[in-house]
This record gives sequence, C-alpha cells and structure tokens, in this order.
Amino acid sequence: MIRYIVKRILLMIPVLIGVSFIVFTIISLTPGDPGTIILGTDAPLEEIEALNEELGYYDPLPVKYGRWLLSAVTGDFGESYRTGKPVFDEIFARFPNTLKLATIAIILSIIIGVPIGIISAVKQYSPLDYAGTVTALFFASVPQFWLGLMSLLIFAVELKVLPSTGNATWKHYILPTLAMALPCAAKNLRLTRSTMLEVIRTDYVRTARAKGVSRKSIIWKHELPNALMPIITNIGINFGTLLGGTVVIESVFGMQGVGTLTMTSIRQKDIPQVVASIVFLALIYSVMMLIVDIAYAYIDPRVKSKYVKGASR
Amino acid sequence: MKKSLALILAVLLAFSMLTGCGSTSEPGGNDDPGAQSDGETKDSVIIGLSGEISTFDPWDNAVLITRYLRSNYYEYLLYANEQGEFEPMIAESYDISEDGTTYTFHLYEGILFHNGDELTAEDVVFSLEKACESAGFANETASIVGIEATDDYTVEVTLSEVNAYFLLGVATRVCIVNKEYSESGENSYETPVGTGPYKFVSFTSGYNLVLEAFDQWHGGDVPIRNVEFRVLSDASAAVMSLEAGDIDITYTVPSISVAELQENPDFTVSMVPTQGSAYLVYNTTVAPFDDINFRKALQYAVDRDQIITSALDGIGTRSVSVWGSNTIGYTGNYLFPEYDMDKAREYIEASDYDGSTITFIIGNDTYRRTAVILQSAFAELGINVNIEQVESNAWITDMKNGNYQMSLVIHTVEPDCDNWSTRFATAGIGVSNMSHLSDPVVDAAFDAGRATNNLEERCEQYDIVAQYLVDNAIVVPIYYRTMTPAYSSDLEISVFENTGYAKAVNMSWK
Repeated sequence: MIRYIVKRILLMIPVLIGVSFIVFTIISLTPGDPGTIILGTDAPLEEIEALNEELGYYDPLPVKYGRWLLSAVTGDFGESYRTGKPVFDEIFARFPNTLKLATIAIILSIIIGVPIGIISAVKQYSPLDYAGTVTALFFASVPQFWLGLMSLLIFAVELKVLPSTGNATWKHYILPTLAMALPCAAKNLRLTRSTMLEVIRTDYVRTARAKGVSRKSIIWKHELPNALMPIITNIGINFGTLLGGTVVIESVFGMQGVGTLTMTSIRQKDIPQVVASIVFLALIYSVMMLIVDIAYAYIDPRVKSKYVKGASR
Repeated sequence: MKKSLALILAVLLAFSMLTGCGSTSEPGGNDDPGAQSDGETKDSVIIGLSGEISTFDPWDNAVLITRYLRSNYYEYLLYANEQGEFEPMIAESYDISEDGTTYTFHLYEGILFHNGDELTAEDVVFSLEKACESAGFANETASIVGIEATDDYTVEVTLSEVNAYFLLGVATRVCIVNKEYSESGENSYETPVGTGPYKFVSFTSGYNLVLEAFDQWHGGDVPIRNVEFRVLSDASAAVMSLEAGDIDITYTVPSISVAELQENPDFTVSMVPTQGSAYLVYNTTVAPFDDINFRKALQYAVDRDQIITSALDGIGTRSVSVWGSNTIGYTGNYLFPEYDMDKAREYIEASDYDGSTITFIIGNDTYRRTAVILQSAFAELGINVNIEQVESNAWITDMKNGNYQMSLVIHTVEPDCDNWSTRFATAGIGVSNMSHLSDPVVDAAFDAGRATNNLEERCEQYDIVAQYLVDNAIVVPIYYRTMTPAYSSDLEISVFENTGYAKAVNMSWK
C-alpha cells in the first residue's frame, strides 16, 4: 500500500511538469509584454524595454521555460508582475477562503444529494422519486452565475434574510456555499440513484432478500457500500474542482479565492502568477485523486486485496 | 428507514427554522425608515470596488484604482479642484521664479504622519526624488534637475526648462511619504503611513482594505470614521449588495440598472462627467487611412447622438473636441464637424478607397455596441468593416506597434492639453500615439505649449494642434465617458473627482 502511494506521488511530478509546460507555453505565446503590463501603457518606451530585458522577455521560449523550471525546483516561483510579491504569498493568502467554501459546499452536497438519491432509488417511480429527480435535473442544468445572482436577488435583496456579500458571520457563507453545493448535490443525487438501482437488481441483493434479511439491513449493509465507489469518485472530482475555485461564485459574493486570482492574473497576463496558480491547482487535484484512490481500498475489499497481493509477491 | 427519513426531515426543518428566524428579526429595520438611525449617526461607509487592489507602491502611476485608494491616506503638495485651480494641501503656497524654472513650495508647519512623525521638507525631497527614479513618473519628472530643502518647511524644485505641466503632473500627483519610515524596511509601503485623513488598518488581498479616521489630521475632523473598500468584481452582484444594504456605494453600475436605481428613492445615482475621452482612432500611415478624403468621410459619418442613445443607454456626453472643455488649453475654437451623411458621401467619392475590407479591432465588450453602430454607418458609405474583438493586451500592443487599421479607445488624462502630446506627438509613437501621427507642426506646438506658463500663449499653441486634428481628421471624438456611481440616499457626497470616484473625506451621512 505504501509502495503504491509513493509511486503515485512520484507520478505527480511529470504531471506537474507537463501542466506547467503547457500553461507556460500558451501564455507566453499570447501577445503583450510584461514591461507594459507592469509600467502601464503610458510609460516611456526605453523604460519598458529595459524592464523587458531584465525580465528576460526577449529570450527564446525554451530558455525562458528552462529558467523558470530551474528556479521552481528550488522553490522560487518568481514574483507576480501585478503585485511584485512572491506568487505563493498571494495563493496562500487566498487558499483558506477557497478551502472553507469548498469544504462546506462538498459536505452540503453530500448531505443533500446522497440521502435523497438513496430514497429515490429505493422508492423508484414514487412521487418522491419524481420530485427528487426533477429538482436534481434543474440544479444540474442551471448555470452557477444564475443560481448565485438569483439567490442574492431573492434572499438578500427581496426577503432580506441573508447578507449579500462579505465574510463577517456564518450567515455570509450560506448563499455562496449553497450555490456551489446544489449543482454538486444534484450530480450526487443522480449518481447515487442510478448506481443504487443497479445494485438493487444484483443477484446478491436478491439472495439476501430471499433469505429474509430486513429491508433496512439490505440497504445499509449490502446495497449502499457497493454503490459507493462511483459516488466517492464523483465527490473527489467535485471537491478537486471546487478547490480550484469557482470564479463565478467567488466574484458574485465578493469572496475572492484562488479562482478569481487565476482569472485576474490571466487577464493581466501575469505569467508567473498564472503558472504558479495552475500548477498549484493541478497539485491539489492530483492529491484529491490520490486520496480518492486510497479511499477505494478501504471501502472495497477487492481493490484492497490487489495492493496486498502486489506487495507480498 | 423511517427513522433516517425522519432525521433528514428534522434537519431540513431545523434549517428552515434557522433561516426563518433571520426573516422575523429584520423586516422592521428595512421597511421602517426611522429604525435605521437609532439616535446615533452612522459613521462608517463600505465602498464597493470593481477591480482588485494590486499594489501599494506610492509611485506606481498606472492604475486608476490605486491612485484613488491612496488619495485617502496619502496627500500631495497641492490639490487640483474641479475648476483646475490649485489649492493648498501639504504646501501652503508656492512661488514660481520669473524665468519659470524654479518652484518654491512653502509647507504647512505641524503636519503629522499617521505614526506621529512631523512632516518636514526632507520627506518632500525624498518623495520627489523617488518619483524621479520611478518609471511611472518618468514623463512628468523628466525636466526636474534639482530638488532641495532650503529649510525645514521650504522645498525648491529646479527645472531644466519651463514646463507648464509640472504642477499638475508632479505637485498634485506624487504622494508625500515619510522618509524615515520608508527607509525602515523594504515592504514598509504595504502598510502605508501618510498624512491623509485616513490611516491604514488592514488589507486582505482580493477582499478588502480597511481605513480609519486619523485624529491628528491637519484638515480637522472627518464625518466618516471607518472606511472599508470591498472588492466586488461582478457589477450586477455589487448592485444587489447595494440594494441589500451591505455596501453603501458602488462605482460600476451596469447601464441597464441605472434607470431602475434612479426610480428607487432609497438610492442616488450621480452622473459624473470624467476626463475619459472616447474616440475613433485609426493608423494614419496605412491605406486607406492615409487618404485625407477617406478620413473626412469617416468624420462626417459618426452619429454621436445615436451612439449615446443606443450604445450607451443615454449615459455619456457627446464630444466634438478631443479634450474636454475643462482641460487647461481648451478654447473651443476648433471643433469637429457634426454628423452629415451627404458630406460623407462626397468625401468617399473623392477618396481612393477601393472597397477593401477594414478590420475594426475592439479590446473589450464595452466597445462592441458602439462599434456595431459605426459599422452600419460606414456600410452606408460602401465601406466594409469587420469587427474583431481581441484580447486586451494584444489590442494595446497592436495599436502601439501600428499593427492595426481602426479601433475605438477611451483615453483618460489629467485636465491639461499637454497630456495629449503622448497621443499625437512624434515622441509618442510606439507608446501611446495610436494614430501614428508624426507632424512637425503638431510637435512644435506641443513643445511650445509646455514651455510657457502663460495661459493665453498656451491656448494659442493648443489651438494649432486642435485645428490640425480637425482639418486632417486624425481621430473622430465621439463622447466623454460618464461614471454612474450609485449610493444610499442617506449618504451625502460633496465632491466627485474627475475620475468618477469620491474620496471618503468628502462623504457624510445625513
């Protein structure tokens, strides 16, 4: 098991290098020079050119990337063109915000999505099932910005029951986390329902039922554990995506996290910040996927046995 | 199963009760206007900002929002009011030597920095010297040859030649910082110490900047004690925040929301004219724009009223001069001609235009509706225009390098004609001279306009430029941008700056 984890961690290195290379190349090929971005369009030409020279803007792309990679290996990801500060200062300043929102949202999406999904599957074609699936279809289809703005309009502007922007109290977190959670919850619901339905039709469930196991026991001991695998994958992917920052929710509710940081940096062509942010997000995503894979092993004995055998051979 | 269902229902019920509680406790406060002022007057204000706060560098001159924020905690030698007159700020008065090259600033005595230090001439010398070294002020400070403190409260600045733009470009723009504090650490600017009415409290990147009133401010007491600038990058969400009462001002109101807010008695929308001049610009060195008849045809084909009504929802002031009437050097003697399709047709017939398709680049979506109206007007003349939206950095780079045909820009300048030299003089090619105009007459007039402090003589020189621009149709001015800040009707704002922003010191609650 440990060997597997170490192998997976080592595999992240080429992934991150690949990601950084692609991002670095794409953003370097877009027009616009750092001198103009830092000094403004009205700055004198000589100053702009001198700064470009200093930042190595005129060097060929492989040289630029090589230089970036070398200093990145030593932990120096450069300074933001926009703020002049080390890029990770800004990322770490904002990540707690994103982490808080994403964690609450993912917990909400599980609490809302999974139980309703189970009920829908167990009571298939009942009014409850129809209500659940239709609502899920709605939330899975609406764009997030619409959900965010509408919830603001209804709960903050019209009903005035919740604050609109800011992060002073727990009430401030309700709307943004719900707006993030509901689409994920809808996906969880649909997935839980469909995998549960598959499991309900399997032979072992029929056998269990035939030998007189109680309905509750069948659901909790036989059906749910076997249906969990795809649900966990989905939750992991959702969490990874939410941690990447949802630009829309962050900008609508004025809770700037890593997502808006990346967007602002892209717009201002802040190359060091963009590359560092995206490498960071790729790292978070890879770690999430690793955790999901490890979680499999604990839930599914079949997966676990594979690792154990592999290690003992 | 029944148990777990009951549990879920209980959780949902509890949740709805929680939110329900919130609803019963608040409506009274919002419907009843008397409830808001419970005897005590509100003394804090939350200001919504559309852009992120990037830097606290006092000599970064590029970003409008940075300049606005620091005007709340830093001060300048002088302040230029709406009429373009210079009022005392840190300098009580100033003298100009007879040859116009030496400025002597007499500072107020007893001005304190936020950390308690007294401001002396040394701080002013340090601040100006730093500005001279910085790239952001390179144009403004180019003519400075000497900065000297003659005593504790007097600073003498010597210029190599007369520079009429010096006071506006340097004395009202360079922040005066605390020398000792600035030298105490490399990142000391991150927690600014100035002499302004508000002092720095905290800054959360991407979220907010908090300031509080500085009790020893030399300007006296301020009505607003606490100020928070909050970043709300989504304009619609910012308007909702205002409506919900979570912020007090937002500067960026989508034009469709302006009318709605105007009808609501709880909010005030101000129409603030700015120095932002929007005009049609083209590369005068490439065909067909090198043909004066073709340019003249474009000049007559621009229907400003239609653009303001249809593209700007009525929010904007039509302009027939590149620089506004409040700009130093404006005379109104040479104005661009009005919309006249018959004349436009005459000129297009006289031109050598061969029917080739022209690419009209726009840098962001705000220009699109105006561009579309121009496209259809030009189509009536038989000119094929293809609108292309490009990424904003690429847009600026292309225009700078002359790698474009036609575009639309809004240029925001300080209210002095000299500021337009970067747009039309030869020296500006490759930087801001998007027209790629190079003409000795224009260059000489700009140089002469800068080299005298006599307003009449300056006006004569800028008339030469204005006449040249009109006669040769170098650009086509369309409108001046109007900012529409919206704020709570209980808030009184006495002065808006020409950028459209209002300093916190000019705000008070009714």
